[in-house]
Amino acid sequence: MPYLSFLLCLLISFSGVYAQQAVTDSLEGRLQQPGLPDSQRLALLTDLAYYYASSHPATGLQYAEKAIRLASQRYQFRPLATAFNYKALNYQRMGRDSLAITWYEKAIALARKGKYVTSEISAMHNLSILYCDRGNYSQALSIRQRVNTLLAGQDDKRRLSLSLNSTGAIYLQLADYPRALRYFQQARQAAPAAGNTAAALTALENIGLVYKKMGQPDKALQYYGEALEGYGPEGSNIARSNLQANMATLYDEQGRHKEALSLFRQALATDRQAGYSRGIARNLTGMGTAYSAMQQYGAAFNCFRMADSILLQAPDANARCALYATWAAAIMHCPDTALAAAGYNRNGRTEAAYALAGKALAYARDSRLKEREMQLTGFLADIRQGQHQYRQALELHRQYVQLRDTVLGEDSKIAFLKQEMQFEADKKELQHQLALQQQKSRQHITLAAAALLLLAGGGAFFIYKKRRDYRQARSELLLKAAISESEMKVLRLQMNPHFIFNSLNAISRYLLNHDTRQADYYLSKFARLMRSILEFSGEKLIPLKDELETLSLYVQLEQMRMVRKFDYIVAVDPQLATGHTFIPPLIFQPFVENSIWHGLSRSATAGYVRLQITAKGDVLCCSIEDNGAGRQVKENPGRRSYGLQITRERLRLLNSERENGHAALLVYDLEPGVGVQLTLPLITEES
Amino acid sequence: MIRAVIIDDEIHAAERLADLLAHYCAAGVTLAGHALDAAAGLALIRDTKPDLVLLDIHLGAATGFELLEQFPDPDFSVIFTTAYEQHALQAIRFSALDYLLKPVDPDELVAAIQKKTNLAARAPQKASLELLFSNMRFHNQGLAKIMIPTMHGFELVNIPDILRCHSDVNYTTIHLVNGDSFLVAKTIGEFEHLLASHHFYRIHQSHLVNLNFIRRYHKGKGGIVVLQNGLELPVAARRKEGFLQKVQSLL
Repeated sequence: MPYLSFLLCLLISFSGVYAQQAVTDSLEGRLQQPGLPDSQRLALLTDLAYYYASSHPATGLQYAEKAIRLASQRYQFRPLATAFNYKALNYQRMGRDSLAITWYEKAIALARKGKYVTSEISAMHNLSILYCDRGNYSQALSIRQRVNTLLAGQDDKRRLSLSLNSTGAIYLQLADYPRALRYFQQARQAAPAAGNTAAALTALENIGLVYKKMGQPDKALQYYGEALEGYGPEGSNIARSNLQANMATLYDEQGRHKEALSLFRQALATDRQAGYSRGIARNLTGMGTAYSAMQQYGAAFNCFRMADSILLQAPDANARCALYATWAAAIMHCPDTALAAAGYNRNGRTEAAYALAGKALAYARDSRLKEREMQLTGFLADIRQGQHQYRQALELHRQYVQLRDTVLGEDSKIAFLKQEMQFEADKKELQHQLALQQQKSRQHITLAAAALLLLAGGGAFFIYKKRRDYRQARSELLLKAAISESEMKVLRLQMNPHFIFNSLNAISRYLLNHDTRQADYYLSKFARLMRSILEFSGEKLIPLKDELETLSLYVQLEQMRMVRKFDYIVAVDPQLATGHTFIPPLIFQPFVENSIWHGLSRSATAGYVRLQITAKGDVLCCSIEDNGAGRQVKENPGRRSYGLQITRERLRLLNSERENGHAALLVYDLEPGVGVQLTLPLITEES
Repeated sequence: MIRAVIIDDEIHAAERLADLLAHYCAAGVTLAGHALDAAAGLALIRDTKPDLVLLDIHLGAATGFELLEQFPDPDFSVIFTTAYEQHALQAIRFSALDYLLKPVDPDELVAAIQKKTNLAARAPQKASLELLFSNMRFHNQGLAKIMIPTMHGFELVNIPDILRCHSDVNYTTIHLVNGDSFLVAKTIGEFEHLLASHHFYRIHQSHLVNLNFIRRYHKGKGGIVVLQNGLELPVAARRKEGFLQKVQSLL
C-alpha cells in the first residue's frame, strides 16, 4: 500500500514555541499599566510581537511596528534590531517572504554595526530557516555557517546545539546524509550536559531521522528510543508526543502495527492533555492507518472520523491531506463487509474513495506538497482506470507524469546544488593549496575542475533526460494499450456471461431429456457464435454483413431456448453494400438481448424484434424495436442500463477517433415495447 | 447420390460428422467409410473411390494436404474440416476450396453438401489444389513466394517483388516493382491476411503496401505515403497509428 506510507511525514522541529493565549493576555495586561517606563514598554512590545508571530502575525506585526517607532524615538538600537527581527518574523509567518528577507537583513546589518551579537545571531538564524523553507539551501547554509561560528565564540551551548541541528537539517534536505549525521552528532555533543536537554534530544531524534532516511529503520528506532528515554515518562510534553508519533509512523512502516498503535495511543493521551489538536488529529490518523493495515477497518474508520471532526475545528491543510488520503486508501482496500459495517454503500466505494482523495489532492495543492500531489494524482488515475474510465485515467496520468517530472526536477535541482556547493568547497580548498603554487598551474586546475564538472553535469543530465523520456514514452504506450485493451474488454463484456452459462445449461437440459439432436444442434451454433466473437474481439470495425450473420446466430440460439416464441425481422436498406459497410462489432447485440429478455419474455402477445438499417447521408440509421413488455415494467435494475452504458462508452470512443463523429444513441418507448435508435457514422471506403 | 468418406484423426469428430450426414443429408449422401490417419485414409480413398472426401487438415503427424498430394489428378471432391488452423484456412480460402469449421454446424454441412450436389460436374479441383499445395509449401519452407490465380491461369510471384495491392471492390490489382500489374478475382482482405507476415500493411481500405518500398511519409490527419516510384497513397486516419507502429517495428 504505497499510499499509506507517505502520510505522516516527520517534522524537523527546531524550537517548539506555542504562543499561548495566557502569555499574550498577561503581556497585554502589563502594557496597559499606567506610568510604564519606556524600556519596559519596549520590551513588552517586542515580546508581544514575538509571541503573536506564531498565533496571529498581523497583530504581531502591529506590535513590532509600535516597538520600532518607540525604539527609533528613543535611539534604542539594540531593541530596534530585535524589533526589526520580529517584524520580519511576522512577515515570514504571513507568507510575505521577500519583505521578511528585507527586514531580517536590516536587523542583521544593525546588529552587526552595534555588535549586538545575540540579535545578529537570532536574525540570521531566522533568515536561514526562511531560506531553507524556500529551498534556497546554499544561502541558508552560508548564513548558518556564520551563526555557528558566532555561537561557538559565544559559548552558548544550547543555541549552538540548536543551530548545529538546523545545519544538519539543511543537509538532510539536500539528501547529504553523512554531513547531516555529522552535524547532528556535533549538535548532540555541543548540547549542555545538564539543565536543558531539549537540544540534545532534538539531536538524537534527528539522528534517528537520518538513519530512517538512509533506510536503516532499526538504528533509527534505537536513536528515537534513546530520545524518548531522555524525555522521561512525566508530564505532558508535546515534543515527546511528537517523537512518539514519529516512532509510531516508523513502526507502522515496518509492519509493526501493534507497536505503532500503542505509541500513537500514548502520544494521543499526551496531546489530549495538552489540548494540542493538530497532534490529536495526527495521532488519530496514524492509528487509523495502523488499524487499516491490520485490517480492522471498523476501528480505522472510527479514528478517521474522529480526526476529521477535530480538524474541522482546527484546520490544517497538511494534516487534512494526510487524513483524507489514508482514508481513501482504506476505503479502496477494505472488504465489502467491513465497508458496509462502516456505513458505506458498497457500490459507492470507488466514488467515496475518489471524493476523499480528491479532497486530499486539493489540500496537497494548498500546502504545495508536490510529492503527495503526485501520489494522489496517481491514486486517482488508478481508481478511474479500475472503473474503466480510461480517458479520465489518461488525463490524470498525464498530470501525474507532469508532477513526477516536477518532483524529479526538484531532486535534480537539489543534486545540482549539492554539486555546486561541493564545487565551491573544493574550489576554496584548491585555492588554499594553490596559494603555494604558481598562478599558471592554478588556472589550469581550476579550468580542468570546471570542465570536469561541466562534463559530469552534462552527462548526468543526459542520462536523467534519457531515462525520463524512456519512462514517459513507456507509460504513454502502456496507457494507450490500456485503452485498446479496454475496448477488447468491453467487447468481451458485451456477451452477457448469463448467456454463456444459460446456453450450457440448455445443452445439459437437452441431453437429460434425451434430445441429443437438439443438444448437438444448439452446441454447434453456440460454437460458431463463440468463434465469431473470438475473431471480432481483435477488430475495431467489422463488415456489417458479418455483424448481421453473428447476430442472427445469436437470435437463433435465443429462439431455441426461449419458451415464448418470437420473430426476428431484419430489414436492411437494399442499397447498402453490407460487405463494404463497417461498424463496431457486436454493437446491436445488447439491445437485441434486452428486447428478448426484458421485453418479449414477459409479454403475452406474439412477439417480434425488428432490426432496421438504412443509410442517410453520411450516417447509418439503425433501429431495434420490439413489441414486448416495455420499460415501465419493474425489471432487474441495472442490467438493461448496463448494456446501454457500455454502448454509450463505445460510441464515445468511436466519436473521439473519428472527426466526422455522428454516433449517437436514443432509447424510446413504443406502445407496446421499446425502441432504440442507434446512429453510427457511415464507414465505407475511407476518406 | 454422393459417396463420401471421412478422414479425421479425432474419432469423436469423425463419428459426429458421420451421424450428421446420416441425419441431415441421408437423401443425398452415403458414407463409404472413415479413416483415422493418413495411411488408412489413403487406402480408404483408393479402395472406395469416393465422390467426396471430408478431410481433416490435422492428421496426427501428417496433414490432409500431404495425403491429397498422393493424388496428382484427383477424381473426387474435397471439403476440408478443421477446428482452428488460421494459416491453412487462409490458404484454403485463397484457393477457393471448401471447408467446414469444427464443431460442424449442421446447417453449414447441409449447404456444403448441397453445393457439391448442384455442381453436376463437381468442378475439377486440380488447379485449386495445386494452388493450395504450392502456397502451403512456400509457407512451410519459409519461402517468400506466392501463387496467385489470375484470369488466365496463375502467376508465381516473389513476395518482395510486390510493390502494392489495390482494391476494386471484389477484385484486387497486384502491382509489381518492375511495373507489371495483374488483376485477381479476390478481395484485398485475403491478400492482407496472406501477406501480413511479409511487411505489408493495409494503409487504407483500398491500399495494401509493401513497407519496404516506402520512401517518405507526410504527416496529416491520416497522412500520405510516398512510394519509391513516387506514387502517393493516402493513409486512412484510423489506420495511421497501426501503420506507424508497424513501420517502427521494422527499423
